[in-house]
Amino acid sequence: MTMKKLFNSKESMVDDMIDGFVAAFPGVVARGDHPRVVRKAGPKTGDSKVSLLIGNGSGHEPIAMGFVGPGLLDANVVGDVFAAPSADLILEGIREVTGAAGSVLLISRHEGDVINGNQAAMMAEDEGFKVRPLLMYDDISSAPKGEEDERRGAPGTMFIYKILGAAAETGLSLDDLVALGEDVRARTRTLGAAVRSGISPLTGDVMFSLPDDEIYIGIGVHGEPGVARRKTGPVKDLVVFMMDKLLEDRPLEAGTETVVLINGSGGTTQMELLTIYSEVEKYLSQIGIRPVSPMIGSFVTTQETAGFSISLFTPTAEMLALWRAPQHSPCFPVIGPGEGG
Amino acid sequence: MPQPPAAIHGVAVDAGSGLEASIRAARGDRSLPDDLLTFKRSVLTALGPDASTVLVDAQCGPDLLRDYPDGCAPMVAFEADVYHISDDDRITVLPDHLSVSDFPEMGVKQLKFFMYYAPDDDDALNSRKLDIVAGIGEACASNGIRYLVEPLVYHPSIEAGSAEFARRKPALVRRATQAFADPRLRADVLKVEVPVDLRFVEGFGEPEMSRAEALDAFRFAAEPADGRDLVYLSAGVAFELFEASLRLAREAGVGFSGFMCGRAIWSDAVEVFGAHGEDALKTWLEETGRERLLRLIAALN
Repeated sequence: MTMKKLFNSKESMVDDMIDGFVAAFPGVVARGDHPRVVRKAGPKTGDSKVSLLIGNGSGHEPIAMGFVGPGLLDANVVGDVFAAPSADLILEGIREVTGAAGSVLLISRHEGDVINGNQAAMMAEDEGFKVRPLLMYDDISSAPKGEEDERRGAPGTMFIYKILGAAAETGLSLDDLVALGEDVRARTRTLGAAVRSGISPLTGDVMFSLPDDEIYIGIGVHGEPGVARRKTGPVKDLVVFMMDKLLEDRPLEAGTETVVLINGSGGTTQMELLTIYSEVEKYLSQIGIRPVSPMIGSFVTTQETAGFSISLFTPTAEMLALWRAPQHSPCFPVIGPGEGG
Repeated sequence: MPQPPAAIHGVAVDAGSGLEASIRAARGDRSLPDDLLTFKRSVLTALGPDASTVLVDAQCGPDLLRDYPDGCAPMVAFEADVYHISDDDRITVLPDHLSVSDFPEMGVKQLKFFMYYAPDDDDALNSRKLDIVAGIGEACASNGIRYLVEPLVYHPSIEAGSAEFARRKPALVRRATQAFADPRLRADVLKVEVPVDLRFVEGFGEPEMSRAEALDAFRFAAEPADGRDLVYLSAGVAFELFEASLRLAREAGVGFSGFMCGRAIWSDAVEVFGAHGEDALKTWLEETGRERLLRLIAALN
């Protein structure tokens, strides 16, 4: 299957996208000194608060440049399509936003991002910047229980973005922010499902193939292998299967305050995502858990891939307040109390 | 020197945007968005049955895995865009959202990673490059993946392909082989360039180097492989020169394990695809392409 894509050229597609983004949100984001660095608009705040930034390949928007703004990320380093930005490029981002308070470099755990991110942090240290890399991982399908630090980053990493972004505004120190991020990470689990592959802007073709009547559980955003296949059917059955897996990995007691994130992969409608949330909410209610402050929408995408992920996060009261705190980025949604779903 | 059996008869079709641009130019108005994938699938289908392995890229690879014939082991490149480099430092662009731990579950037990390397370049830059290679090597080791590393040599100030570069190439390949054979990098197989540019060897082209010197150069460059499997890559040379290079390496007594050949086999097929379409491409690959692969296998024996 091939599809027409609305780009000028493969060579310019990433820069064209960034042009559009910074033109659309001039008071919120701006281009950095390097054209592939998108930073928060306005005066630099790196001396008064810890900065937060991440580098990632493009093709997954709105993450992560859509989350640059007050109360969230200070910068995003934008790589080529499906390519980890180089260490040199990430270093440009660090230089752009890091001041006396230092910075946290968020790294979603995949070898390319980890290798380049760690190199960039070391190079920045050599230049005198205080930078702490923070590895993020939450996908239970990518490594078994007990090997959590071998797992890959998935949409549940957005809890870390948001909570650290809000905490940095309160003046938390660099070390405390990293410790907070590690705690959020330990409280988060994600499992995804794919229904239909998107089209790669690089090859013009599907990234993986699925039989028409099957759904893959645990498949990565580019078709990396999953853990199970299921026949299509009522979404309720699929949600129950996935929730069982999530709670097997990290059991929750009745009464535990839980935040649910339903992320669409790009080609799944809000109508479907809300239906999925409804089934998750029913599942949790039956075991005595009342979900609060959910986030539902397509935030970590892979072009028009149809699919979704469920992330469960059990915050402390402090974390929940930070999750709900105001932010002003172009694409992160308003988080309401959502008590009782 | 003892000669181990030549076990690796590999075909490489992992090139990314560079190959795509060539195909697009050749196809002109008839270009389709999935031409690159069509080309790669045709190479795999036509040459896979006679190859011990076919190397594909991470972008097209997942969709090609089901097309591997029995007996042909998949190998996937761990690069965002094969042979694409980010800047003057020539550091390989890594993929995002792809992990080495995905390979076993995809049924892929071999990973290839390339890095441009100039032994005379800045030490700090070379350390960074080797750290990246070592990082991926560590992930391969912990996931039980066979790691094939490809150092591509260059010189910061001497043009590749020149007579001066040809004179220096044996030493450059030797030093790169030595650096990449370091146990810290955990390479299982070193995919290295032919250390001699036959266009400057007596009997083949401008006689900058005698045949005896060329044989010495093969031995000299391969010496530091230190027991690792060594395979030669074609690096875009004409087919006949690559075939002759393999014969010379055998004659020199180098204990190499085979070859990974890409453009030397199939580069002429790009024009065929452009001029005559997919059916002609397949026919060319099944006839001329296959004949070339079999000739390279014969050159090892």
